[in-house]
Amino acid sequence: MENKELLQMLAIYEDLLNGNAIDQTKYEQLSEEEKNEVLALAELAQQIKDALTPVKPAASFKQELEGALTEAARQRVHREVRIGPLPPRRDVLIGAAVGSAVALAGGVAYLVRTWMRGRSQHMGQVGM
Amino acid sequence: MEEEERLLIERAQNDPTAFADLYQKYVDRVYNYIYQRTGNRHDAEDLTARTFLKAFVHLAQYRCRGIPFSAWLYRIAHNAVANWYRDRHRHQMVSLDALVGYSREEDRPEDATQALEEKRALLRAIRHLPAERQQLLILKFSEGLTNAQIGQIMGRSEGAVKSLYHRTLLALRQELQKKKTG
Repeated sequence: MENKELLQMLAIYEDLLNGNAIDQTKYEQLSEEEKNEVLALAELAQQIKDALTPVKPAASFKQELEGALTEAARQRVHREVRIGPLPPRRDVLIGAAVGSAVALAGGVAYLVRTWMRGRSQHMGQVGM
Repeated sequence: MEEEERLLIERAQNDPTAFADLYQKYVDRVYNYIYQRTGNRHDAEDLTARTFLKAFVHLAQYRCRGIPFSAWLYRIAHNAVANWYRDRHRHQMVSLDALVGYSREEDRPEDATQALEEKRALLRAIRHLPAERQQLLILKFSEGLTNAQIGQIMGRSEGAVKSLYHRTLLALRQELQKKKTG
């Protein structure tokens, strides 16, 4: 199939899927075989859409993760305030920045992993 | 990028405690993306936590120029899922808890059972597609993104996304037909 025809077909079944009116002129230009193909693929696309229904996270999970991230943010602010008055030498500042980034990554990772481990144990206890 | 979003990002880059606003804005979408890839709530929660942890730590490196913030987050989530599959040699799973919600009360039991089986087969086929094709279908159908937005996340042109989408549908149909006749 020519690339132009393919794009035309794609446009038509996108319209079908999105509930838009089909461009009848374009549709009529298709052969019977292509029309059947468009309808079959649009039906499959609709089935995929139905199967991949959006899922929301549990409210408790959202709240707990937000709490862990907020705690990590507070620690980061505290650390930045503490390293603020370092001598303004470029090499010292760069060293401090790199050090704090590494410490921060480690600290946040520790906080979130601790929280995740706690969750896993809790889920194990309740038999989930 | 929306002005409001740009301000949210800048604020979070200057004040880490403001990251919570970005988190609230995107957590549902990131979770849904990961859930559709993994098929179970427990792993979706763990990987969502890892995704936001990484975004929090590396937020200073994000620049508003180029890809949107949501695309940056989806890329982190996509990599987290890829690492999860690779590290644990996971078999792709079908989400049974998602399927439960699909049968409607007015369905006759035999119809509902058949519909459930068809959806199960479809989800199984989707989760056996290559990762980038799964990503495309989830972003398009579950997250409701346009081809242009998907292109930004996947680093492809809009035309390339359309073409990949078409090839994905054809491959999926072939796979489903093979399963039916096999």
